Amino acid sequence: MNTLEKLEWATIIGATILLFGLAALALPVLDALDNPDYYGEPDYIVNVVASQWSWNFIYPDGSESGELKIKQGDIVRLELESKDVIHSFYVREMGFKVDIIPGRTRIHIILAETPGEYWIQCAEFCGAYHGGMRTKVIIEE
Amino acid sequence: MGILSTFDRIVWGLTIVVTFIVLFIIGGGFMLSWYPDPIDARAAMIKQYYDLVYVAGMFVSALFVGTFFYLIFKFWDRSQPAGLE
Amino acid sequence: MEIKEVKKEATAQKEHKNFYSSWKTILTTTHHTDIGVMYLVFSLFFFFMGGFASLLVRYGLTRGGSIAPEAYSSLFTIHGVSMIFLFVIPAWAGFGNYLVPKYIGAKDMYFPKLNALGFWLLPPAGFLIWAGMPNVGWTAYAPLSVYAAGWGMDMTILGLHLLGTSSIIGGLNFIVTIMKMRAPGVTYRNMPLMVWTQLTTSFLQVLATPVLAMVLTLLLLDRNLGTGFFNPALGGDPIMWQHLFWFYSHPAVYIMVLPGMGLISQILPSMSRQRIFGYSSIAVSTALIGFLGFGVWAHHMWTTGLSITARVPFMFVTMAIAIPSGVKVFNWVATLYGGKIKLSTPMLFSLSFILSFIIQGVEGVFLAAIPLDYQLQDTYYVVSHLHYVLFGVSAQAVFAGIYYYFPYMTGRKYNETLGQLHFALTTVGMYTLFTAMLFLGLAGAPRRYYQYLPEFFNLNVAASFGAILIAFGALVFLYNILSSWYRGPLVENQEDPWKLADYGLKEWPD
Repeated sequence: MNTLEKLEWATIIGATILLFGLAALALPVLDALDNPDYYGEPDYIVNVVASQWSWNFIYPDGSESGELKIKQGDIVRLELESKDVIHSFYVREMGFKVDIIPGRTRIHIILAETPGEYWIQCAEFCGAYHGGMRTKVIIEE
Repeated sequence: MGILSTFDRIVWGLTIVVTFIVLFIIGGGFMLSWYPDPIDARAAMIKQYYDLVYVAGMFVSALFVGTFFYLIFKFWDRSQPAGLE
Repeated sequence: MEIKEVKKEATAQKEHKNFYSSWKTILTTTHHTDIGVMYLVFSLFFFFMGGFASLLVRYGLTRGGSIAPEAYSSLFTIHGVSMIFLFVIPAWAGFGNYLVPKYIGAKDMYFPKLNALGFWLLPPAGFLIWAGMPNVGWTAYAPLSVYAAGWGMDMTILGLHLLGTSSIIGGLNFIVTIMKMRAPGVTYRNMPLMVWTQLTTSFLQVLATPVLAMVLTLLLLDRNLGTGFFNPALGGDPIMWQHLFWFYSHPAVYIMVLPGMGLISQILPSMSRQRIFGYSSIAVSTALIGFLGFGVWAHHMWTTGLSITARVPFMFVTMAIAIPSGVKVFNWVATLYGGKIKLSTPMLFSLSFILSFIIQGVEGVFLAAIPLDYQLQDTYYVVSHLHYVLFGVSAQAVFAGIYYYFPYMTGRKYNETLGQLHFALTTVGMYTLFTAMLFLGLAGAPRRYYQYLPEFFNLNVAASFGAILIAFGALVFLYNILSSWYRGPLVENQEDPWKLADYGLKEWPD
C-alpha cells in the first residue's frame, strides 16, 4: 500500500466519522425541535389558515388578523391549515418552517422570547403570487 | 509521509490555512454574518448546531480546496502549450 | 480473429460520411456517432433556450416588477424543465452514444434503430414542453399542479412522458451494449470509467423513470378525470406526489451528474498525462452512489411532517452518500499529483468541475442535517446547491467533454483563446452567481419569489451580474464551436489529437 492509498483510506474513515458524527449530533437538536412539550404547556391556541395568497390568524377569543400578534413570554400552539395548495410557514429568526399540507393540521409550538417584528414568508411555491405571500409576527412587550 | 519535501509540506500547510481563513470569513463565520440572529431558545440551538457544521464544513473544504489548488500549481507543466498542438 | 474484425470495423467507421449533408441522412441515420452528435446539438439548443429564460428571470428579479408574476413563474419553471430534461439528460445520452461503443470497441449500439427512436422522441417532447409553458415549478407539487388551469400542464406531462420513454429506451440500450458488445480484452475491471458511469446511470434510468411515468399519469388523471389521487377530500394525499416524484428525481440527480463524473475521469488523467489514480475505487464509488441514490429521496421532504422514525434513517443514508462522493474527489485530486498538467480548456473546466463538486458537497451536508434543513429548505440555499450540482458539475462537464472530444468528433481544432475566454467568463460568473444565492439563502430569502424583501437587493444584483457573464461566455462558446466546426484548422492525427501516445496513454482500446 503506498502513501496515497493510505491517505485515501484515512480520508474514507475520517469522512465517515465526521459525517455520522454530525448526523448523530443532530439527533438531540431534532428531538428538541419536534417535541411538542419542549416549552411546556401552551398558554393558548392560534389557528393559522393559509390560502392563496394570504395568511389569516384566528385567536382563542374568535378575533382574526392578518398578522400574528402575540405577547412576550407567551407559549403559543399554532395549528396550521391550508385551504387550497401546499404553503409553508417560515420565520427565519425562529429557524423553522412548517409545510402546511391541505387536508392535515400541522402543529407547531413557539415561545415568544424576544419582542420585535419578524417576517413570515411562505416558503413553498403556491402559485403566481407566492412572492407576495408575506406577513409579520409581532411580539409585543 | 514521504511524498512531499519539507518545504512543500510547509507551502501546502499554508495554502490550507489561508484557504480556511478566506472560506471562513466569506462564508459568514467572522465579521460577516449571513445567518439571521436567533430570537428564541430553539432557534439558538439550531444556530449552535449550524456553527458546528459550519466549522467542520469549512475545515473539510479547506483541506480539499487547498490541496487541490496546491497540486494544480505544483504540477502545472508550463512547457506544454494550452491548446491542441 | 475477432480482434481483427473489430479493427476492420474501426476503419470502416473512419470512412463514415457526414450525416448532416442532407435531410434524408439526418432523418434516417442509425449510426451511434451521428445519433450522439444529434443528441448534443439538441441539448445545446435547449441549453440556450433555458439559459435565455433564466436571464429573463434574473432581469425580473433585478428590476422589480418588470415581469408579471404569472410570466415569472412560467419562466423559472421552463428554465428548470429545459435544463434538466432537455439539456443535461440528453447531453449525457449524446456523449454516451458517441463514446460508449468506441470505448468498449463495439461497432455500434446493440439496438441502432431503437437508438434513433430514442432521439426522435425528443423534438416533439421539447415542443410540447415549450408550447405548454408550465407554471408550477419543475417539481410540479400537487395539488398546485392539479389546479393549474389550461392545457399547458397536460402538454408538459405528455412531453415528459416522451422524454421518460426515450430515457428508458436509451438506458436499456446502453445496458445491453455494455454487457454484450465489449470487445475481447475489455472487461469490467479495465473498461474506461466513463463506461462504468454510463452503465450505472442506465440502471438508474431503467429502474427510476417508470416511477416518474406512473406519477405523471396519476397527475394527468387527477387533472382531467378528477380521480383525486392527490386530493385529500377524495381520499388522496398530496404527499404521495412528493414521495413518488422524488423517488424518481433523486436518482435523476445522479443520472445528471454520474456521466459527467465519467467524462472527468477520462479528461483529468489525459490532461495530467498519467493514469487515473484508484480506478477501482472510482468504479466502486460510482456503483455505490447509484445504489444509495435510491434510498435518500425523503431528504427533499423534511419539512413536510414525516415522522422522526422515517427521517433519521434517511439522514444517515444521505450522509453516507457523501462518502463515495468524497472518495471520487480524493481520487481526482490524487490524479493531479505527480502529473504534467496541461491547462487546456477541457482541463480548466474539469478542474472547475471538481471545485464545484466540493462546494456542492459541503452545502449538501448542511441540507442533509435535518435541523439545518428546517432553516434552509426552500430558500436560495437550495437553489445555490442545485445549481452548483447542475451547472457547476453537469454543465461544466458538458463543456469539458465538448472541448475535449471536439477534435475526435470533427477532426478540427477549436480556438483555444476563445475557449479560455469562455472558461474565464463562465467560472467568474458562476461562482459569483451561485455564491450570491448561497448567501441569500443563509439570510433567509425563499426561492421562487418574484419580489423580495429590500435587504436582499444587493445580493440579487450580484447574482444577475454573474448570470450576464455566463451568458456572454455561452455566446463565445457558441461562436467558437460553430466557426471551428465549419473552418477550424484540421488536426494532424484525429485518432490522438491530444498526443496521449507521447505519455504512454491511449484514448480508445486497441
